Amino acid sequence: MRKQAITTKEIINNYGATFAFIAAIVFFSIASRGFFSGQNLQNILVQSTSLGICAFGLTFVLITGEIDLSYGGVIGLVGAVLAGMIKDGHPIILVTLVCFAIGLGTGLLNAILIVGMKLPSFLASVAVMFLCMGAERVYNQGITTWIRDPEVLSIVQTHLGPIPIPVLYLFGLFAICWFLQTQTRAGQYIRALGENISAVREVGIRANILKSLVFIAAGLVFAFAGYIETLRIGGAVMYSGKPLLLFVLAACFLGTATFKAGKANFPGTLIGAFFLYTLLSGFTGLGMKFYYVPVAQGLILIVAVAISSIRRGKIEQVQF
Amino acid sequence: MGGPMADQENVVIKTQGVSKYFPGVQALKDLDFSVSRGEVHALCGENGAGKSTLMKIIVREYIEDEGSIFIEGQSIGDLGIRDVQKLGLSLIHQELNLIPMLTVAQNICMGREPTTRFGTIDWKTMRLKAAGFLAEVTSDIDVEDRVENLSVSEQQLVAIARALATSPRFLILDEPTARLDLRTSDTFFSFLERAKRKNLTVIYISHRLEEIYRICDRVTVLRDGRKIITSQINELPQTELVKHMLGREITQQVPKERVPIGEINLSVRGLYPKEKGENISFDVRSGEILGIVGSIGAGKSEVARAIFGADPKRSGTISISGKEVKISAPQDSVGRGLALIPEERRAQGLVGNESVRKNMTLASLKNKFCVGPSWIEQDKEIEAVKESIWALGIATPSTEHEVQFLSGGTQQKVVVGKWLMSDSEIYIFDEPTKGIDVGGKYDIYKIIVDLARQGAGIIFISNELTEMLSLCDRILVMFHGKIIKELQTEATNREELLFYVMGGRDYAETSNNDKGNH
Amino acid sequence: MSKSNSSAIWADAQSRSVTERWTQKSGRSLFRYGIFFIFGIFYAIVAILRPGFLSLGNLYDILIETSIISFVSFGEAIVVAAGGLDLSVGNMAGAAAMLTCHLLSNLGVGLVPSLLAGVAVGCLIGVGNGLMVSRLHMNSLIATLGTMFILIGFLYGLTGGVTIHIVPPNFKYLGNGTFLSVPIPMYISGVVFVLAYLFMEKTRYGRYVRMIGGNIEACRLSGVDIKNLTFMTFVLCGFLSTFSGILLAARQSIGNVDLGERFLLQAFIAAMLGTVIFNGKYIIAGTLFGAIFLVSVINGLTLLGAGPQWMYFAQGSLLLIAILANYYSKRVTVKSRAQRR
Repeated sequence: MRKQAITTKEIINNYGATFAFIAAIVFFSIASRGFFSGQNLQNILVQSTSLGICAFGLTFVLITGEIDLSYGGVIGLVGAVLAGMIKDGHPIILVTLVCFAIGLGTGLLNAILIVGMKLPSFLASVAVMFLCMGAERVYNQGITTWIRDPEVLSIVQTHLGPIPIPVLYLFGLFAICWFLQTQTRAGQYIRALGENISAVREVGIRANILKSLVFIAAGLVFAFAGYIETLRIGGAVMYSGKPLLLFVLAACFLGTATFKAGKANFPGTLIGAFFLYTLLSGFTGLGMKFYYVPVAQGLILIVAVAISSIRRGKIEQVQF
Repeated sequence: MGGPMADQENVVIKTQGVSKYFPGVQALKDLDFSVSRGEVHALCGENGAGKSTLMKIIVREYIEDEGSIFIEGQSIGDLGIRDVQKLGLSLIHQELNLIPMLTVAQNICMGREPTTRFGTIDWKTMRLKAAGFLAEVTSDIDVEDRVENLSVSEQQLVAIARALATSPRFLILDEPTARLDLRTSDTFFSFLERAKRKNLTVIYISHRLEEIYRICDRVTVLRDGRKIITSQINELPQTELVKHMLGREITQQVPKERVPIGEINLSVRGLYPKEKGENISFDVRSGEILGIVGSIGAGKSEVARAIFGADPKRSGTISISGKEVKISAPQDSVGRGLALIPEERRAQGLVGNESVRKNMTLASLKNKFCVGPSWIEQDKEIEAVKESIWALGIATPSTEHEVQFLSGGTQQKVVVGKWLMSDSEIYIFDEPTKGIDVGGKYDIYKIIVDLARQGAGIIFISNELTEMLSLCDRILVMFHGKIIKELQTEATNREELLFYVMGGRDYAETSNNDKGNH
Repeated sequence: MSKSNSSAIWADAQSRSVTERWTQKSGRSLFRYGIFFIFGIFYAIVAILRPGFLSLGNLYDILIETSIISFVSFGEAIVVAAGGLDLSVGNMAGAAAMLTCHLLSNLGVGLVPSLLAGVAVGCLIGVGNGLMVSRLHMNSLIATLGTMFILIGFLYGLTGGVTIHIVPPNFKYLGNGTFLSVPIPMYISGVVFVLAYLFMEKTRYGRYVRMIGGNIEACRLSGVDIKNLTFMTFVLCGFLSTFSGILLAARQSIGNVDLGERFLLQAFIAAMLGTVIFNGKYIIAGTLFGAIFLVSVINGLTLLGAGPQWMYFAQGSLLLIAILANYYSKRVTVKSRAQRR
């Protein structure tokens, strides 16, 4: 009944970041000669992989109305265990299982703290993050372990035809997440959780179990991201989750401004991740010092989110 | 005790001797109630009569203390909410509980989404099904539209469609038209008439005379948890219905006194609050207690918030002591001596985890207790708060006690105390005695009367008739967003008041006709 | 007279048994003083194992370290008290430090103007944060995240990651000098503590800030200027953060780019502890004690031989303890409310 008038303002409000993304690509392609080359684009895709995968996990949690920052620690912990166990000669299958078990464990811990004990998700997940970072440090004693086994590295460092494998992982996971979210009943309920939890309970759905599953799934995805990141670099760098910390957040929040949703969503997060690396690649290609790129990224994040939040009408507090 | 008994075989919902006790009050007492197949059965009663409680017991959200309930002859004492739904019973609450970000179709089919072979959602079937259910209610809404884009009235219709998705045979509607505007009301009634023809049984809880008499076959009146009468609608004149709802008049102790009424304090002209309400105009004089009464959905709170600046308004002028003032935010009101005691004292009136003292001085810190630009004179503050506590009879062990631990009535007094301290001249009380025990109510009334005596102008919003009549000098009745009647308290009575609250037209004429016909 | 059905359900139990009252009171006392109890045990254990822990020299170290992080902790505590979050505190501290060092050492500007410039930068960024939250209605998490990005970019970009070695002796004195054998930073910290305490407890702005954190809508409906007050908390936070950064640079005599990075974590933990200690009654004092405890824990663990690997673990545990304590203290109060129904 209420068809919204399609005005330019509406389009900017709803799809602003998507257009900005496309505009950025166009701009860089024109302004910098090497930008639109296959190699460069491939680089961007590959670099965005761990970020994107991790961001998908966070997106899941954001959709339910909570936040999960534990990936800052999980990624590093998984990486350390991965490298460490490989070095000790364990079979890759076992190692992989252990890595995912770690993700399962942290996800479960989050679920207990946040859903079970009703602790505020921000604080609880940050606490879990630190616990993971601590565990990582204890495990690897501060030593960076490199992975030399080519067979193991080939899980990530190869191509399938012209496409680098990490990109396949990224899009594969994206497809799974997006499918789950939009085509299954569980996906509907997860979305509903973030909006009106009593409506979900009213139809008889066990909201707590659903939410716990989301945290566990996020933990698994974070583990996957750590797994991929470590293999991509070829070793477990200390606290590898930390540099990603902010970027994953930024990708998800950028994602909220890409589509009409105004809330976290998977295609938006994917675009957000690409956007961040596009800016990095584009600006450095133009000669900007690599150090300065976060400025552009921060500005874009702020502008994108501000456009939709201005209309909110009232101050939003952070729930502690 | 009323109209002809319904045919036993045709009784689909029956309660026998149902009683329910909550701490402090007997909500239902020995209630026998029955509904026949295919009828639209109205359930009437004042607030607190037990209507919602009875319905919640029938759908098993509450469990009765005594008595039995039967659906189509089968006792449902052991069943739970989902079981009762499976039997074909559906209750549409007053709260909508929709998911704004999802589409109408997704909301209607929530929990019952059709799936394909692979387990994914079958969008096409869902769209068709949802459209089908929606079409029974209205043809104006697109199933693919997001709920957040719909108006409140349209959302209410979607909520009804969602209830239909369970293919209920018995529908319980609790004040369904409270949110509907005139156009959607008509749509809704067309739906009800169609449903009736399809033999859907409906229990219709409402406060609106015209609707009850338009669509319902029989009516049951509850009062103080008991059934008073069940009658065919065409055998019970409107004024009689109102009388039954009211029962014996208990003179409530209200310390009302004659207070000289002075000049006009507040003047409202042409007020159109943001969402609901049209062309509201009235004056309040110093020393006067003006009542605004209306059932749920009448628009009373909207008016209060629009005047105070809590919500923006579409248009309207407010004048204080003869001068027009621009009020766009609560700050403007506070500066001009206009006070609002909000409807939800916990969510809107108090900062729960802070002390009585800090809450009470929140509106007056700047003017009264600060030295220099910002230094708080704590001693002065404590003294003033102590005085207030004593004067208002606030039951708190100390000035530092956290407000969240006080009883409801005491909390309300703290809110009132807050505004008293800011030397307000005009007070708007929005349902101030809701959820407060008798003693607490008396205290609030006394405070209000004292305020009037000191020359304040008071707007008293409520839907409890007795306190309105005891406390107010004049009463404005609101219905569907408009002021439909102004009554002088001395010249009216409860029947007339309830009659207008329920949307009645001309009381004098109608009661004459009714008497003549009987 | 008809009774309101809602009043039946909302009717508060009139009688509160003696045991109820006692459990409620003791529950709250537990958390008011429980932290000190845990403090005490920790101090005792470490002192027994490493007597040097309680030596004057070590306590001195603890206090000095506390005074350095105190400013940024107070700033974060003020923002958190109003219901917000400032992730950019560490970077604001770093920015102020770098600017001051740059002006002092590379451009030869005088001490006072350099200091003022550093502080000004923090205020400016605070203004930016405040505007985003109060006028653009952005969530402070996202807003200050964006600020972090921008600051990190500028910090690294402008300096190229190069550390600035500080020459002016008067600046070094600021960080290392003592007056009456009390280090200068402690004096400054003391003064700021008193001012912050007075601000939050004795001025109406401080009062409003806390009430806004408690129930912003009730404040709005009481005529409180929530927009400008929220704005102000971010400006204050920016202002205070600069002190931590500048003093740290003065103390270590170098300005390095990632100087402020650890401030975020520590300020955050201290502020969280501040909402729990004293049951949240005295935010600034609570934050100070939180900072002391945090620094003590790190110090103690180091003395016990726990390498840097345990630091994150310890800080994570501390944070967890703080939230759990907060949670349980709330549960005690919520439970007593539920019993009244």
